Amino acid sequence: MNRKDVPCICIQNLTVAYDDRVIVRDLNFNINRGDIFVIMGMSGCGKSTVMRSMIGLLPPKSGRIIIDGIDMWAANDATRNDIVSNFGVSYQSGALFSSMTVWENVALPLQLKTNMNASAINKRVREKLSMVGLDNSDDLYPSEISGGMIKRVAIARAMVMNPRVLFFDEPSAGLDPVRSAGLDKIILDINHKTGTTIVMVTHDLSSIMNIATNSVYIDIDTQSVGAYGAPRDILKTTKNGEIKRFLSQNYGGKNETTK
Amino acid sequence: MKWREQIFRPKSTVSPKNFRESVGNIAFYAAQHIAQVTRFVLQIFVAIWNMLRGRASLRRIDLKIEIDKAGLRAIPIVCLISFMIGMIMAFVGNMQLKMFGAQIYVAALVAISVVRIMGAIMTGIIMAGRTGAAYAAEIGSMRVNQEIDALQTMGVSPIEFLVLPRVLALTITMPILTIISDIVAIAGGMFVAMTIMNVSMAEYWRMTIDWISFNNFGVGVLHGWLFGWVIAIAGCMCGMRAERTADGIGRATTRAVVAGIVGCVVMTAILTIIFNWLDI
Repeated sequence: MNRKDVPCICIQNLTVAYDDRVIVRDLNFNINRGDIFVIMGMSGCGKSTVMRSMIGLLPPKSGRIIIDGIDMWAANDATRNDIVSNFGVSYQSGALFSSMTVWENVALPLQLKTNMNASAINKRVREKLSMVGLDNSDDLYPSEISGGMIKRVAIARAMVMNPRVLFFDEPSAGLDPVRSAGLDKIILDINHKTGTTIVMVTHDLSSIMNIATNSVYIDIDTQSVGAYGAPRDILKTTKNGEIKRFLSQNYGGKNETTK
Repeated sequence: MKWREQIFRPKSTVSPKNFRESVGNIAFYAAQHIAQVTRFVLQIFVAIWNMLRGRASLRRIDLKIEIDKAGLRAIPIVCLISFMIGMIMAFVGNMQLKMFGAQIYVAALVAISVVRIMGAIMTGIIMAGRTGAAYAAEIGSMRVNQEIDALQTMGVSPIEFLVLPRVLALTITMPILTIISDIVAIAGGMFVAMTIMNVSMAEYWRMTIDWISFNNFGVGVLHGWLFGWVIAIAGCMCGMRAERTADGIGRATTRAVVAGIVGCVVMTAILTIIFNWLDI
């Protein structure tokens, strides 16, 4: 079978828990190569927890996360590290190192994990900073830049190793609608220009509707998959009132649910 | 009372019904804690091994910054406290030795006690409060800010990148700070001797040199070096295990200071027994 035919990420019967407290149970969905895939749901439904499990930070209680045909949590540490090294992650807070400048933050993975020389590192960092529209902020510290810029630097850092999959945890959290739309455009550009698979955790409906090609809705009550498919298709076909309400609050207006 | 229960009851246990159960719980938590500390220390040694093979994710610039923070910037406070302690020891020693007409031995009293143990203990307590707490707060904040998660997903070991430079910095600077503390405390004692006891500087210095042996000096510096390990490990471990809240960072910082100071005292007790046994 061609590698392109295999889903990039395959989630099978995934249950994730903190100690004995189950957060999500029996999740099943696939993420295809080149997709912009959104994990959505109400606040507290466990979206970020699922992502933590997918990026190797939280072992699941049961079930499998299959990346390019390999069950990442059944693999040994070295294999799992190899798998994770193909990921770039942009965290909700940005997670920039406060003692380092913008340039140093973006260059860090290259300095620590590659043998690239200084000029090649500088070239790559400039390329990535340029992609997110930050050409003149090299020497600024995270405390000297805005929330929107922090998110963009985090995206540049996540992209700097040219990962096969980019994860975003609530990329638009704390941003105004204009900045949020700008960030959506950057994510779309990355996907179109590089073909990188993008997995995004969000409950920002304008982002979901504008950029997602596929999605999964995690139901907070059942702690399981409530709906799976393209967000617009889910909105058209779902009979679940909760999901319909969730998807129509910012898209299509409240009237759609009250009619 | 409810607040007492909330404070003293271990989080994940049922309240003990009898003495045996509570002893069992305490033993279980102690064993769990010892296992965690041992694992953390082993991870640090693995990181040091990787560094020696040139495979650790350690930047020289970070090590330099940490040496500057833990070493150079700590010198003023170490000097201030050491000078005061030297003065106090000489002053109190003078009062007691005066009864026997043996004031000249104040120099010996200050020199031996400071060089053998007090210099290291004073420096250890200062550094546990200053640098150990800073390590816990810095690393704890990085945990809250998801910076440690970011490192892990970059494939960078937080032990190599965050803990190793701090441990190395403190183990390099602590023996030096201990020697500085010794010198300044002796100067404090000398100041009291010259102003209150009318002892000349030359006489005080001669007595000090006569009484300090290489063994005493070596024991003091060894104490300082081991205290560096204890304080750095306590600070970094508390930071790495901090809960992801502001309150959690506060608790981690408190734990780091307490663990650092208690660790230094326990280490002193162990070394004292060993050196006594070896007749050093």
